[in-house]
Amino acid sequence: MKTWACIRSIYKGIRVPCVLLAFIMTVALLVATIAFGHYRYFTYSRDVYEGSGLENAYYVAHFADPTPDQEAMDRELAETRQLPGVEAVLYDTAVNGFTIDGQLWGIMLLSDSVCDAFPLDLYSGRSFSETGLTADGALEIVDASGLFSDIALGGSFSLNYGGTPVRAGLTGRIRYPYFHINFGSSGDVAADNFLSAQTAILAKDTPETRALLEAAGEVYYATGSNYFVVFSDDASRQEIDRYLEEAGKSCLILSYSEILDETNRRVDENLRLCFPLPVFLLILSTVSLFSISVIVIYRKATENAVWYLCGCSKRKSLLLIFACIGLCGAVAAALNAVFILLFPLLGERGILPLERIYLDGWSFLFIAGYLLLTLLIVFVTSVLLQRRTSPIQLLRRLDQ
Amino acid sequence: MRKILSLQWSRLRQYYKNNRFIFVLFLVSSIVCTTGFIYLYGNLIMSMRLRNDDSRIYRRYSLSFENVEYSYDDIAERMGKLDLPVEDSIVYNSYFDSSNGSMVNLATPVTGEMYVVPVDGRHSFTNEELREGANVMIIPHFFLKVPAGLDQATGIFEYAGETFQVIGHHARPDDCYVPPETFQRLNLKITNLRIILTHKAAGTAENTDNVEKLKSLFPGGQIDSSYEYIRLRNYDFPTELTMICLVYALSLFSFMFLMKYMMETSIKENVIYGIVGASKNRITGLLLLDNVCFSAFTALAGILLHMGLKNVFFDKVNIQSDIPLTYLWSDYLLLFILCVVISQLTLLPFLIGFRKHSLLSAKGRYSYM
Repeated sequence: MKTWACIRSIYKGIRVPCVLLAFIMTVALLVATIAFGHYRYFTYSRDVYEGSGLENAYYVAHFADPTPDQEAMDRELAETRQLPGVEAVLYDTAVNGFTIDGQLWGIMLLSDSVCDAFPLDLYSGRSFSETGLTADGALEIVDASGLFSDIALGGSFSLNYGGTPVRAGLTGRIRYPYFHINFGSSGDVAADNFLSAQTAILAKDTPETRALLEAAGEVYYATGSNYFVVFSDDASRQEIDRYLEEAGKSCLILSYSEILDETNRRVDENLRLCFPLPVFLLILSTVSLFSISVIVIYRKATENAVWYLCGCSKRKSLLLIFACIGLCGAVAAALNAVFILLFPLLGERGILPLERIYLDGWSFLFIAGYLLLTLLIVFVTSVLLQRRTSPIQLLRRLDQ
Repeated sequence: MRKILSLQWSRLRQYYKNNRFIFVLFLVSSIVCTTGFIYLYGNLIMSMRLRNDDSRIYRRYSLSFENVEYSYDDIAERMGKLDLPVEDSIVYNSYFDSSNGSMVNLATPVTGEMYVVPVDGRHSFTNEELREGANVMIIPHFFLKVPAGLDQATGIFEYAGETFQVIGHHARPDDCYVPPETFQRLNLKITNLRIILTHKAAGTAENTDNVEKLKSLFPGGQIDSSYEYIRLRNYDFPTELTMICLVYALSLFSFMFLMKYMMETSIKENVIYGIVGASKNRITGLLLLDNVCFSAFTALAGILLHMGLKNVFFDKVNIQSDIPLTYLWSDYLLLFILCVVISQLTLLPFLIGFRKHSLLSAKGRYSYM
């Protein structure tokens, strides 16, 4: 109780500066958190790409209109798989028309090799099984749309496929902003182009899942016109060059390293574009914190001296002032931490749909780091000003 | 005047004597804030960033000839008379194939070097090809819609009744380059002329002058100047400036508590002024003058710091690293005035609070001793 009374007494007369300081720090940290989240989106996509193991792969993009139709794509992919030296072809396929809540939704089918190279960033649950079907033969679904938020993981439900019910089981969830793999881009491609934030329902592309869907009704597949061609380690240079020369006549071909170079360029560019304003605001808020710490210590010198005379130790009075000012920084950090926690919810509800932002544990670390820095500044300020002097000596010095 | 200056100097000295640490902290904080403000001014205001951006896109004048016909030779002759620093110029025949939705801009240079961003193959014509008007073409690496006569596998392009050999690819969509002799032989209507100058127009007056010169040489042509983009961005200047001024004001407001502390610690002096007959308004005026001195000093110091460290530090942390920022004397003067004015505005709430009480009661309230 006594401590709380002392804390309230410290805040008396300096409420406005403390509120202003907390406001400035909250805004500065919020701007910095969003900028960091934007930067993290690029570094996260780079991490995903670097972890894909596609060093021997080339990205093939059809960029002219008209792009090949389904039959031509199927033929092209089949022929590419047969080529000497080719280990795998990574592509995505969309499947038509499930009706959910009166709206038509397609399902994105991801092959085994795509799932291996680009594991899904699951918030809960697990990825697909070998066959893409549950133990009782239902279609395994990973929710990257928020449509199935009221269905428990492992729970089964029925999907309306052109009037025919298809049994499905929810195996995993991806939270907002629902990042999943997508091969829709051509041109200056970088790792972030492979991350799509569009809502999607994901399933595995296997003969079993295709059979399940085809049994339900007429299925229209739409294979993407861009894909990765992965060469095996023992593929010869001639085999690769031969393929590249042939495919290059009608497609844009990009190697792993070209995409990585473009990715690194974008990461650097983003660092330069995004951080000046947040850094400026953080520097200002830190200097404000230091200034207000000094004012608080000087303003409360009389009270501090009285407490000292009443038996309060120098350490305790230092800690009290440290706690009061540090609380401003803690409030800013706490509000931003709440923002990070609520960000998926705010995005899902359309309240704050920020694009190309990735907030994860690193964002919390960033906030924690800034909080530690502010507490350190307050602590150092308190110690520096009162280190060699007792509160009475400080008061006399101010009196002079 | 001398008295006021002398009084002001003694007041500032007294602020320093009352609490050196707070005095220095206030000055340093304000200088940091002002330097940041100057940095934001250069990096967040688009017209500042465009000032030194001399990209081709801002040096372009496009003429379209819908209702008038000019031959290639005619255009070449008029370009020779044009009193502008032309870097290069290209004529086009634009054709939209409604059957498949493709667009082909057949292009050939008139003056200067042909500017293409190469992708593969050749990106210029040999002397022989230029002399003989060979049927060779440099085409885009990708078409939004592939033209009907183009066989990408063999590199043959059937166009305007003739067969062309594709010798290279470039990055700009839809533009297909042929030698001038070839273009003339095809006898296609020239639909557009694009002129790139060696430098961007310095201002609206120069741009208008350029447009007038082009109009006089190419009557009937519709002229589009890319300088319009710069002119439109200049309209955003007040909004952008207001935003960064608000950020500056908010940050300066937090440092004003230091100023308030200094005012409070020198309350005794103000009480004495009151006792010897100075009115509250006069004392308020003195406090404002104190702040003018501080803000003028910190603004000047911030400007000098920015000027001194611009090449060494600030240019390296600019948002656009490849385009240097140039601060004119008018920019620095505007920033100086804004810093002083905003500083006065941020002090006002504290002065209003200060005026609510009599000097003696204020001394009682703010006496820590």
